[in-house]
Amino acid sequence: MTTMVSLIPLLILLLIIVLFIALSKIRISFGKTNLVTGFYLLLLLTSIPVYYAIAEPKMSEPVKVIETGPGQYKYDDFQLNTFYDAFSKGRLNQYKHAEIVAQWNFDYQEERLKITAPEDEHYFTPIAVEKKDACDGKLEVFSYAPKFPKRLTLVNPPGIRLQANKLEISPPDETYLKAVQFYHDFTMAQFTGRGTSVLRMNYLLGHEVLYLRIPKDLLIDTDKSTEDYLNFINFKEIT
Amino acid sequence: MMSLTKTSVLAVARTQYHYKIKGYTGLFFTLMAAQLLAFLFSLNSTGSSGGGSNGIYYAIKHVTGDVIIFFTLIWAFSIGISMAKNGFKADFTFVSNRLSSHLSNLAFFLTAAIIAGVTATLCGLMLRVVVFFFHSVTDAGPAFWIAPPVLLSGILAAALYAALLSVTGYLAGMITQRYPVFVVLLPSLFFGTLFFEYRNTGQIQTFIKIIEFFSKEGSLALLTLKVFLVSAMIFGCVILFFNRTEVRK
Repeated sequence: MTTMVSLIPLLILLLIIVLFIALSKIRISFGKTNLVTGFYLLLLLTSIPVYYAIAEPKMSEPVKVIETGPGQYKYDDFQLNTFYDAFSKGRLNQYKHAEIVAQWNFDYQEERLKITAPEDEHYFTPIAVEKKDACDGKLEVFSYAPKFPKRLTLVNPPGIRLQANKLEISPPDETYLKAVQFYHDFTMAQFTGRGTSVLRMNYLLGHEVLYLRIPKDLLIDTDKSTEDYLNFINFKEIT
Repeated sequence: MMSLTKTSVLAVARTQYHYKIKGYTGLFFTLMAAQLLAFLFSLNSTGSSGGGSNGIYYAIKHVTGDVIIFFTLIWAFSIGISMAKNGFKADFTFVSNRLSSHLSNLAFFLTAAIIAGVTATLCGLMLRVVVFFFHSVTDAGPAFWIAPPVLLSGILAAALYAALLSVTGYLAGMITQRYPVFVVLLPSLFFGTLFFEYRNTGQIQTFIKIIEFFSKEGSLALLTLKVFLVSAMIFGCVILFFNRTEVRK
């Protein structure tokens, strides 16, 4: 059955060929078609200047196309790599392509803080925790997202709630997006590696990270919901 | 047919070629219809993908001119078959032989391939313009931009594929013309082989390998060479095996 299904496109192809052969037998004189053909050619030729007017030659190239062999390509998203590098080193506030998409400030005087997510509502995001130099009793939470020129970033920051000695990170409300992505025709893609055969995501989706700045003397607790996502920046000892 | 006028094969072929270009303009009308049909199919996208992460869900339509080129290549294949069946009828208007007919058909295929390559690629460009405005695209992605040299490569590659397929169609047409049983046998052999291979290996590797021999070629010069050599071999077979019929049947 699967074999038959996989041959359906080829059978359709055969039908189209038969149709074209049948159509080619119809003799149409040039006089009858020249107006339509001329209009079609005019449309095609007009599309050239219009296209080059709207397309930008120096569109950002977020993904490096590396040719690994004849007709074989791999992709390296170096922009995103630099964002996560700055995140892991605690330098997001100095990194120009990181944008704060949400921010929360809390007064917090307790000794310990548990970073957690509500049960069954896990929000999988990398979290960096940095200790401040002062014991100022203030808890600062930032949601950062990468932002690069001419590259769409889709962000939906999580909900942050401070309850007793727990900082709860909950998923945001769901949002839906529709978009269009262009690819080179296969006759060009075999030279450029930008065809649909390797679908690449040009959008930056789900790359929000959380950055916590906590008082110097605050101790952090974790649980299963967050322990794998925490990155302690300048901690001498992790509790 | 006997004639007292001395003439060369090339001169006759040239005359036949000019006649065919004028006489078969309907084929180009079919090409335009095929491209416009493919254009309409592609307007709503040639594919889509979707997904979600951290509360954001997306549906992305993928737009390329692949379907337009695909339809154009089918057209190129079908004109090969069509010319093998009908092309010779016109040739006997002139003092000619099979060789001049074959050569004039080859010239016709090359002309048709260039026209097909140019129009198919430009139709893909038109598709980009229309989709860009109709979908109010905010972020087209880096592959929206086609540098002029890439556009030219695309035109040339499309023309090469069209030439290859029209010559292949010509061979298929000549075989079925000479041996009518192949009208049924040839597609049966083709699909039967694919079916048999798929059942045994789970893939249609031979067919895919043949396609990849051309489509994975990253150098335009090498692609040109490959297409030229394969087309020359196919056309050589046509001249060698179908060079006998010299009267209208």
